[in-house]
Amino acid sequence: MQIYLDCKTETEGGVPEWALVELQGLVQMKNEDGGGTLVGDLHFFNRNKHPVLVLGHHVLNGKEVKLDQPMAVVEKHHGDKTTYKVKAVVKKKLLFKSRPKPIISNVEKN
Amino acid sequence: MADFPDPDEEYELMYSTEYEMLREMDEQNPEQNPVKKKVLPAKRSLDFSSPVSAKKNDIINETIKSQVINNNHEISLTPSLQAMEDVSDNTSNKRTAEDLFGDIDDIDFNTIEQPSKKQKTDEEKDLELIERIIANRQMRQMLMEPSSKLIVNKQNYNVKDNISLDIPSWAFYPVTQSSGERMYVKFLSEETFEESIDAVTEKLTLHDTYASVWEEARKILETKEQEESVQATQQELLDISVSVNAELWVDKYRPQSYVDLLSEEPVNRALLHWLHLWDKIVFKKEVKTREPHQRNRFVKRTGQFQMTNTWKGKKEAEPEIDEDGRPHHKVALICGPPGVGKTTLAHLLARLAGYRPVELNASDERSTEAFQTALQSATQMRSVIDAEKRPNCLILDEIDGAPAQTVELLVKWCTASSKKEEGGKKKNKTQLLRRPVIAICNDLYATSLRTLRPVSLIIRAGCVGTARLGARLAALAKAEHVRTAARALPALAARAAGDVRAAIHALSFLRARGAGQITVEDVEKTAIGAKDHTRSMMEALQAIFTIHDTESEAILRTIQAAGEYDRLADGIFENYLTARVDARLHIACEASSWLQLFDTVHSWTQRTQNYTMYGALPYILSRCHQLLASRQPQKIKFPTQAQEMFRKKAELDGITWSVWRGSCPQVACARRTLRVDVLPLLPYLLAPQLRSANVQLCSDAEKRLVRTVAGAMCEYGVRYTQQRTADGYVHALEPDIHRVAFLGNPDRAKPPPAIRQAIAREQQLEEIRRAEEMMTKPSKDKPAPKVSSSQPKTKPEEKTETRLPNHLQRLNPKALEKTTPQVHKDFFGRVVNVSQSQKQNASNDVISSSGVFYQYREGFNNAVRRNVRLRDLL
Repeated sequence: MQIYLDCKTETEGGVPEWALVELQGLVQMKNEDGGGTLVGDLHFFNRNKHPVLVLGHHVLNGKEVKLDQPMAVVEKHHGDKTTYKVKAVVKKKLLFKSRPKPIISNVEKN
Repeated sequence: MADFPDPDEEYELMYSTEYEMLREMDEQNPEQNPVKKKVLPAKRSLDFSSPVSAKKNDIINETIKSQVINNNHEISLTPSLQAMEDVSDNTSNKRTAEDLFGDIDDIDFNTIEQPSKKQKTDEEKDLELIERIIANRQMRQMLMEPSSKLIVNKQNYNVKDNISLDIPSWAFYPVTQSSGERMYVKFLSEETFEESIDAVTEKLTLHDTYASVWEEARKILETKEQEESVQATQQELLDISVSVNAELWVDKYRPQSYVDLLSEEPVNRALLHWLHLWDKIVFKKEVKTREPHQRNRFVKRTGQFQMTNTWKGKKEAEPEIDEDGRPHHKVALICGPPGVGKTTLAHLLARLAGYRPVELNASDERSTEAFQTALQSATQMRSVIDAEKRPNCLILDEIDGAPAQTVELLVKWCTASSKKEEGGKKKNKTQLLRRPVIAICNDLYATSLRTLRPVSLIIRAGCVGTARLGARLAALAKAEHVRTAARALPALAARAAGDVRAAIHALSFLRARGAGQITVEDVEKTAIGAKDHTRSMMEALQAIFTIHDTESEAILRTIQAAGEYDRLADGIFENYLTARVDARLHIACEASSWLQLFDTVHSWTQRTQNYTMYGALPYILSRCHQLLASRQPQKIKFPTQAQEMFRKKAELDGITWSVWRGSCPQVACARRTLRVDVLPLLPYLLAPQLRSANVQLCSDAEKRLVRTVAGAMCEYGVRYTQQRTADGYVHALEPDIHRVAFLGNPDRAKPPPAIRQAIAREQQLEEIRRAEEMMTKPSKDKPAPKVSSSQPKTKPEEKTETRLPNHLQRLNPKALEKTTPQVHKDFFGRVVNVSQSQKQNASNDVISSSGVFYQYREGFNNAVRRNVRLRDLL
């Protein structure tokens, strides 16, 4: 069996590098419709390389982890042969494995 | 024991002749029954081991007695009675009554015990032998001394009535002489025997004889003395000039050998034994010590030496010699009253044990440096001048006057052991104490000796007994050719009260005064007992409770010498109820009224600083002595009760005060009510009955109970804290109201530890709740004054309305109070823009109202697997 992977890039500059955001949990949405809804904010502090993710009323702290085996994001192309086109390469991930901290908003009294 | 013959053998040796006679008799009278061995039934037993009487009558008796071995155990009578026994022991009967004398039934016969078959231990044999020797000695002594009265009685024996040559009509006993002649001896009953003894004892009551004999002796001696004194007065003048010698008698007649010592044997022995323990390290000689469990101890109860029981002895558990080879106690501390012979003892024994004594006493410089050099030179260096090359032994005299640092230095040096440290410092070795140190003090409980006492072997040298001191004085007087009246020297010894030095000095003084003969009046006039001896308080207290036979005024002097009247009164108060008790408590009443008088006078004196009445205080105390003194020895406790009670009261007061201070205003009450009414019952309130320690498992009622308890604790300001005890941490109430509530045992009504923990937790929660309430309260307070101000206006309006009866009243929903929006004012009272805060609110709302929700999942996700099928990839 042969699976073809096409590494040729269409754009200049090679294959872009993506990062993986790994969460230990489920992200649930109140409204079920898909589409691009704002899930949350991801901040990355450059000095400490400290990523912070704000989801809903939770804030997660994480760290940047280098993957042992870099991964590639491939896209399937149907044709006479199924080829996979490499879309991006993932070499590091942002891992959020700690318990989220709640954000308590101070609701003013009327 | 092989050297000494057995008691049996000895007996046989003594009565060999009698044994022969017995054999002869047996041949002649074969039909007579074999003699049953009997003990004479007299309670005052006759000792048949008397070898003395040569009378024929007695001989036969004693042959039979030879078979009575057990009588050796019974000690003979007093010599006088023994003599009577010699006379009247014809009455002994060794035949069965039924055989020969049917009608004499007033004589009762005891069956004798067979000689015991059990092996007698060496000790018992020794004791037997000793007793027999004593008995024999007494007999011999009695005979040596002419006792004319006793001899007279012997001759009361009427020969005609009691001996006959023909068979008489009265009860008799046949006796055969060696010549073959037969005599018949009268046989008296037991009762006559007893009567005769009684008759004798009437004449011989010791008291009479003693007094009369003493009187006679005195008269004789006095007449003799008078004769001699007449002769000697001429020689007197010559003698006195000779006797002016420069040496003090105390020094001249100092004991030079062990047997001359006047102190008690156990004391001498103890010190000597301790000195010998040093032989191992000083002379390199092996020392024989006994392990603690092998040591013999004189047990007073049985009057014998016994091996100590290991489980009883606590002090005897320590070995005599420790690891270095030195004795366990490095210092021997000899203590005792002055003039008793302590220094003499120390010097003499040190010399006897082979040391050269080096003395350091109160006259020498005893600062720490000088002491250090003296110590080192004494124990580590050797004297060059000493011809005999003896090692030094340090004697520290009057150590209770040494400065405290000196004593501490000594203690530190003594307790330095040769344990090798990790660094292996050589310094340790040089500091070891290798020579014995003997310390001498007067007062064992002086404060400077407190550190020395546990480390040292304490030897108490007591006062010298009056008899011994008198004997020594007599010997001294004889050596110095001093003539004394008969009773003068014992009187002098008594006056000196055990102080040898004072007695000898007094004697030499009397001699030097030129008295021809020292009489009793001279002795009594000498100012010997007038030493300014400060008696300690404990001694005075002990003296108050014991009767002093000779002087009744002595107690007053003792009290005045002690000085601390209020402490003495405390001591009397603490001990007077146990000292002398009578059923109707008259003594206690009177003693307490005297103590009350003492208290009044003393407090008045202190208050007004007027000491005119101060002199009356010792008289009050001596009156208490007259009430309370008894002859029985009592254990007098040192007065500590007052201080203890004061301390306890202060403690409990402190606890009450902290509760009072810490309690809420709702439960506030006067301190007195708190102490009397509330606190005794509070512990019961704070100890709920819970079925389990876990509050959540309890029923609702119990939960409410726990909440009330927590509430009560908060209100009274009481909480549980963890305190460290020997076992671990324990919850205890802080402040500890259990101690105030219960007299005696504070552990009553304490909940078990688990429940205590639950209550503690509840209480903390309750506290938080209350704190929260307190926090929310201030917001309500602000509108409240406004409302209250409006109320008085509405009140007069309402008054006009009639009040509805209760059953017609309807519940009206309470109208919500519209609070005006809070206007933010800055420091100066100007209104601040609130817009910023509103913006913030908006952003916060966004966050809180977002639709995204993150659900965190715990656990590891390394093992999450998903199946990927290849056909999906293709």
